Order: sequence, then C-alpha cells, then structure tokens
Amino acid sequence: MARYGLTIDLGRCTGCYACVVACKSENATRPEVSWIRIQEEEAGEYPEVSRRYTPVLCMQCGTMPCARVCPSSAIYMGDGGIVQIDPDKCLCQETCPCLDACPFEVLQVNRGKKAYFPDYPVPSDKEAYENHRDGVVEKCNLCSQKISAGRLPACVQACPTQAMLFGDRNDPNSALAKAISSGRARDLKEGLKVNPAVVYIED
Amino acid sequence: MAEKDDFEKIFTYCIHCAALCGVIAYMRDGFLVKVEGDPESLHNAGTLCPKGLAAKQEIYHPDRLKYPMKRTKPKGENDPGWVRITWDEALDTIVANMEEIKESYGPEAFFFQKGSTGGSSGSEWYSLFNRLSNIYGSPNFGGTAHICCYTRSCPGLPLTLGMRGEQPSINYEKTECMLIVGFNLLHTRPNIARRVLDAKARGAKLIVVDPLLSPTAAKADVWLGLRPGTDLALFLAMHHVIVREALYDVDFLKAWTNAPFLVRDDNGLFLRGEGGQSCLVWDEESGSPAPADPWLSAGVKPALQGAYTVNKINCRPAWQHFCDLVEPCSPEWAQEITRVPEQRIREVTRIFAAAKPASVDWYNGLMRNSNTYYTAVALALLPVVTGNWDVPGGLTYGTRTRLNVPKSLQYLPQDWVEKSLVAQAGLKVTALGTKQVGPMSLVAEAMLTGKPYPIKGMLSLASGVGTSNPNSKKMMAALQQLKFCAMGDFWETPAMALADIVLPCATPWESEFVNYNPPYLMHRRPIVQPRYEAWPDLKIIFELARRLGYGELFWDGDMKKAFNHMLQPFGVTVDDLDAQPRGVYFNPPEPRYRKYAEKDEQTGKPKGVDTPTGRLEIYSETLKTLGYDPLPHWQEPEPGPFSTPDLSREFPLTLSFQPRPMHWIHGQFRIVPWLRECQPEPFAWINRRTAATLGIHEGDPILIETPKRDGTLQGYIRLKAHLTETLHPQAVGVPYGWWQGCEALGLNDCGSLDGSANVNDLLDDHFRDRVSGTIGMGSYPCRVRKE
Repeated sequence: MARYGLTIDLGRCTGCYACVVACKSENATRPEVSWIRIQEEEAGEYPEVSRRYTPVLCMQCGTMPCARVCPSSAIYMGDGGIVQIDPDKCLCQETCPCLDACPFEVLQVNRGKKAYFPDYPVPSDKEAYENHRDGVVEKCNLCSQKISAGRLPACVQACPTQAMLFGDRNDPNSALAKAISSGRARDLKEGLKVNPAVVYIED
Repeated sequence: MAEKDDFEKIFTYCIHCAALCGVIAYMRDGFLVKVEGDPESLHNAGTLCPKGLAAKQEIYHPDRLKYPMKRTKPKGENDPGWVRITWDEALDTIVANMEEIKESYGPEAFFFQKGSTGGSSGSEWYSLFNRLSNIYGSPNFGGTAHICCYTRSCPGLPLTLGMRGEQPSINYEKTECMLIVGFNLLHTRPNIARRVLDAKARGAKLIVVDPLLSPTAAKADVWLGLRPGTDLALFLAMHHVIVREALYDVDFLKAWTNAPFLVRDDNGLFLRGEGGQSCLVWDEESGSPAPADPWLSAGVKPALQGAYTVNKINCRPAWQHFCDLVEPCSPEWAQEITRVPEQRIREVTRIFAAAKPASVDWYNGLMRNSNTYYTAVALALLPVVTGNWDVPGGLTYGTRTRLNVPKSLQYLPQDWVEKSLVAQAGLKVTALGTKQVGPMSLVAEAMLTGKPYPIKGMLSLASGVGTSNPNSKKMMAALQQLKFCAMGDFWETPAMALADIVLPCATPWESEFVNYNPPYLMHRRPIVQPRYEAWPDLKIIFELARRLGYGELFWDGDMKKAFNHMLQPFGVTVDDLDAQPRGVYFNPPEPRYRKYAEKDEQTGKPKGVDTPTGRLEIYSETLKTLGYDPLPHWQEPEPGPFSTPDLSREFPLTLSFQPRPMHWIHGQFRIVPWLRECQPEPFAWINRRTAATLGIHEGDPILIETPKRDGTLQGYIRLKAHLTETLHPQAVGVPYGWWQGCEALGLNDCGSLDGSANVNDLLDDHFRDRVSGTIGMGSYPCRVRKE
C-alpha cells in the first residue's frame, strides 16, 4: 500500500512563500489560517551568521499523536497514509486537544472571518470557503484531491526552487524513497518517534 | 475525492516580473477559480511564485479603481471630491490639456511617467508609451532606472563593456563561480534561482555581497556583509590582489581591452599616431610605438606596464594607470572602509580568479549610491581582467532575437540631447544614449521652481510617484504645482490625491500582449475581460494617440496589428501563436561567445565591442573628455558617516535597504490579502547589540528619523523592530514600498509622508551620482528610537 510523503531540501528553500500562497489558492483556507508556514531561524553573531528557512506542514505521522487524543475519533489514517479529519465528527469547538497534541503545531481551528472578500466576487468561492466550517479543526492533507487526480500537491508544484519532492515512500523505485535512503533525510523533530512521512534534507 | 476536472483552461503567462512564467488559468463559468504554473513549460516547469499564484485576489479585489474620475475640489484639500466620469470625458480632458500645455509652454513641459516595469505589465507597454511621448515631442519620459538598473542594463555600461541596454546573461550550467552583488536573485529571478542552486550543488561557488544577509546571501558559500555603499572599495581591493598576485589574463588584456593603449601624462588622453587616428601602444619587440586601429599588426608585443616617451610626450599604458589606481587599495585598506576582514577579501578574490569560468551579476542594491557608476565599472572589470568576458559561464550579454520594439526612436526629438532635463542637469553619459532615464528629482525641481524650464503637465501610468522615489514630500509638493495631472493604476495611490483625472487600469491578467521568452513566442491571453470599467494601459495609450491625431502611427488603434508588427522579426503572427497553447516554439540561435573576435565581413577585422575604442575599456577617455574620472577611483558614498560626518553626529546609524522578497514588486500588492499574509507589517532590522543600547525589543514600535543636507529633520517613519544579527550593528535595514493597507486583514493605508512607513519620506534627494544621476540613499544617516 502506498504511503505518500515529502522530502524538503532545506538547502534549496529560500523562504519565498510560494508554497504558502499555493496552498491558500488550492484549498481556499480562511483568512489567518494556513496549513503550511515558513519558520525562519537565525544562528550566530554578525558577521558569522546564518539563516535557515523551514516549511512546516502536517508530517502525516504514522503514530498520529493528534488522533490519539481526539474524543470523537474524527482523525483517521486515510488512503495513501494521509492523516484525515472528518469534519462531521470534529465536535470539540473550543477545547480541541489535538491542537496541543501535535508536536509541530500545524492543526488550526476555523474561526473568525470566513473569507477574504465576503461578497464572493467569484461565485464558486462561496462554496469553497463555506466548506471550511466554523469550529472545525483542519490541516494539510497533501492535497489528496490532487493526488487522486494524479497531480502534485500544490506546494510541491509551485516551489520555485523545487525544494520539495513528493512520492510514495513504500515504492523503493520512487525518487522519494531514494532521497530518503540517501542517509541525508531526517525528521524535523528527531527523537519524537512519530514516524513522519514528511522529512527534511539538511543543507 | 479527486479534483473536479470540469475546468476550462486558458494558457497565458505571468508578467509580474521578467521571468514570464507559463500559467494555466482554471476557469469555471467565465470566472477564474485558480492559476497554476504550467507543468509543461520549459521555463517554470509548473512552478509559480506568490505574486502569480495570487492572481485571483488581484483581479477580483473589491478595492480596485473602478471608473474614471475627476476631482471637484481644489488641490491641497484632503478630499479631492472625486466624481465618476466617462472614459470619453477623461480622455478628452487629458488630450485638451496636453495640447494646451504644448501650445503654451512647449512639449518639453509635459512629462510622461511610468513606474516599475514589473507588476503592471509596464515592461511590455512602456515602449508604446515612450512612442507616444516621442511623437508628442517631449524629451521628458522616465521612470526609476537611475535607482534600479542603470549600470546593469538601462543603459548599462556602454563606455566600459559596449553593451547598450542588453541584460547580462550567465550560463549557470558552465560557471564555476557566481559573484552576486546587491541582488536578491533567488527571490527576484525565480527561474534562474533553480539554476543557481543547481550550479551550487555541483560545486560552483556562490559569493554574495550585500550589507544585509538577504535570502540569497543566506545560501552563499561566502557572504560579504560590508558597510553599505562601500562595494567599490571591496572591488578595488579585489583588483589589487589580482594585480599583486598576477591573477589577470595578460593575453586577453593585450588583445581585447584598451589596457595597452598609451595614455599621455600631460592631458590624460590616449596618445595618437600621425593624423590623430590610431591610438598607440608601446611595442616591446621593436622598442617603439605601434598603432592600434584598434587591433595590432602581427608581431607587435604591446607593453602593459612601464613609462615611455614618444615624441617628447611622456605616457604610460592604461593598464599601468589601473595598477597605480589599485596599488594603494590593499585588502587592509579596504577592511578599514568596508569592515570586511582583509583575509576574507583575499580568499574571495583567489576563489574568483582561480575559478574558470567565473561570473558576476548585480542589481538595484548597487544602484543606490553617489558612487554607483564607478562601483559597477570596477565590478564589471573583474570578469574582464580575469578573462571571463563573453565566455560560457562568464559574464556575457544576450544576442537573442528580439521583438520589434515600437518605441520610435526616429521620433525622439532631435534636440532631446540638449533639451531634456537629463542633459540640462549635466548627466552627460546618460545624454549620450537614447534611454530617457533621468532622476525624478529633476522633474520635481522643474515643477517646483520652473527651472531649467517649467513642467506643467504629467501623465503617469502604473507609478506610485508619491512613494516610489526619494523625497516624497518634495514630490507631493511638486505635484501640487502642476497645471494638469492624470494618473492611471489599479488602486488609489497617495499621489492621486493631487491628480486632476484618475484612470482605472486593467490588471495584466485582463489585458494582452506578445513576448519572446526563448524558446517560446507567446501571446499573453487575457484570463477575463477587464472588470468594472478598467482599461488596459495599452488601450489608453492607443486611444490618446488617436485623439491627438497620431492614430496612423499607432496602427489605428488595432492592437493585433501592433502585435503582428512586433512579431515581424520572427515571421509569425498572433494567429500563429493562438493556434497552440504555449504559442510558437521558436528555438533561439545557439548562444554565441567571444563575439568580439568574430570577423566583420566588410573589413575582415574582428568586430570588437561597441565602446568608443572598440575594445573593452579599462581606461575611459570618453569619461575623461566629459569631465569625469577615466578610472574607478574610490569615493565615499554621500551621504555617509565619513563623507558627511556633520550629519552622522546626530544621526549615527546608517540606513540600508532590505532585499525585495518574492511576494512583492517594490511598492505593489500590499493590498492583496494572500500576499499580505506573507508579511503583514513592515519591520526594520536592527542589530541585537544596537537594540539593547536603545532599549528596543522585538516587535517594539520605533521611529526612524533622518536629516536633510543642512542637518534639519528630513522626515520620520514608523515601523516595528526586528532584532537580528544579519547586519552590522551600525546599519538599520529598512523595507521599502510600504504605504498601502489591506482592508481584508484590517490593515489601513499609512500614507506617504511623516509618520507613515514610506522610506522615501526619509531621503533628501540632494546627493547624486554625477554620472548616473543615482540618488545617494544607500548609506543614509539615521537615528532610531522607541516610540
């Protein structure tokens, strides 16, 4: 069975936000909600200083720490090993223990403004934005709608420096599996043992 | 659930920067649902940057200008009293004023202004706007080149390299070393970024010179975080090391540069032979002078160094002058000026000189200082003296087939060289060419003082003139003096408060054009018709031309005819482009290198380069004749801590500009929510140690203040503080282009003057590069305090 995942080459990520905007465009997420973010870290003192950009999104953990704490079993492992949230079962509204259970802080609750332009100048936006219901927790699902159509996740396709590689970790012939077995890939938070499907290649 | 695939697809390209990425617009019921990069495009391979991806929010933004409007209250009142008018009334009013001003004050009194060529698609239509200004008869057309691309491409360095407006082009697959200066290339050239990172991955060295650790510098093998405005000292020290360690290419210097030309000690001009035609070199073989026409006869071995006497005239080779110039410029000397450790300078120079081939590239970070021109000359000479000129992987210039540019230089007023504000201000090098790239400060002065002659009217398209040039207060005061002013844009800009007529322009996604981005000849198909009553800029230009009586020279308003004219060099038409989704695949000719050595068919001699001597010029006699320095001598940037110490006493820190991130084009798009969420607020970068002494913490609101030339306050702006180690403790990194709000995110416009976030409010335009006219602003004294 396939297990979809990514490698993200930090040597190629320039922190340009193309992945962030591509995600917003593809998934019509609400204002102030983003399923992918760029973390900027600086180290050293001038002039011996460095800066690193790290895109952070749902790692599609094999152990699903978020699902373990969900009181209504809304979070499940879907096709291709993608962690999915069933909006009809997501009922907490306020408490949302999954948010704190996620070591990467990538789950978000839909709150506040529903859409950027409430008059919906593009008619199909109304349905797209209203699909993101109030109080429901959401996160990246690797654009599973695109994967099933045989296409790449929006962030992977958009990345100007092609820092992200998408594929099936379980297919030993995939470029992804080869990149992972190169020995340079590592978990974003090593030691957590959450078995993430998204891993990083160090600069 | 799989993605619905019931979209209609429109293939077009993005014109928000020079990359021209192939785009697929996914349409449903005539509305744009989303855009994506075209996965089949050989340019962008499906990738697309934030600006392109945000097309939908740009097109359907509710705050766009919707209708032509005229003011009903006097200029200077807070509310212009905008009233909606028809396009007919708007255009008739503009035409009537253009004609009246031409009649009363002469055509030079009407200024045609365009902004950055990015964002608005101005890079495509501006040549037709320039055609309009030329046919109208005004020598005054302009924009921002003097603070953007002057020495790189507009006009470039014709006196040194012989290129005239061509873009530098580098073969990243071949290069072994990339020296990138003041250029956040990884963000501003997305399709080149991949190639740079690929080159680095195979072992080519990336060296980045920038006062701030830009995203590009963050990927460099070596980052040189020098004191703002001191790049020239760094390059002179690199030349010093190259000369001292004999890392230069002797054969190349002798054969293809004017390094061996003898320069007279008495007047600094080239020594010439009988008849005054040929320049002379000293032939070491015969021990006598020999002519260079500009090529040498077989057997001549020209001296590069030494002192000679010819007919009682003492002279030395140009290379000797260059060696004398760089002799005192040791890395130790440069360390004092630039703060880059001398060992680092030696190391970088050796990497650069040993790498074959090695390239350099630069952009607007280098176009911000009073020493800009000579800084670029010294940089451009690095690949020249090391034999990396016009070789694969070195510095070269494109020779690609071009569209017919309909700029109409034939209509450029014959007297423009004398009459333009550029020429009147004594910018003689600029006036040698045909690029009308004078500083906006000259225009503001003419509006305010009537000197050297009055500017009474202005038509400005796609230009936030109130925020996009140094000294915003002066510009706003100047606009108030205009008899007539019309401005077109997508959004209401601060300067529009002083316009008589405002025009709503179509976004690039609603307009069309043709372009050649090898290997595609492309038609930029509109995704949707212009919303509200917006018009494409090109339609405005064509319609004004028709009403002014120039219709015939504008294809009678038929855009398709105009596009077919532009496509003529390729032997195709717009219909041919429309027959295929990505236009016509038109393979560029194989890049040619060492073009200077190609034989001219008529003379049988090498073609050389298009400089005054036909050789690459280490020493410029033309500059000398025009009253400038023939060599790139070190000069401190003005203003700055050492050139204007009086200002630095009260304003001890130095402003430097943050790199442009990928999600903005200069001052544009802060209003687009998806883009604004990438960077909701403007932050100034302050070194942690400096912040500690000022009691400033991360996120604190701060005031930045600057002086005028006379030491009184020029202006102050409000930003928030970001504490960092990515710049020198004495530098303050400011973001530019901030004025616009974003109501969807609850953020308000901040205006353009004191108390806003507009950095151009901080800059006096007094300090100017004598050659390029660049405003000295990259090393500007400032002080910071917590608000």
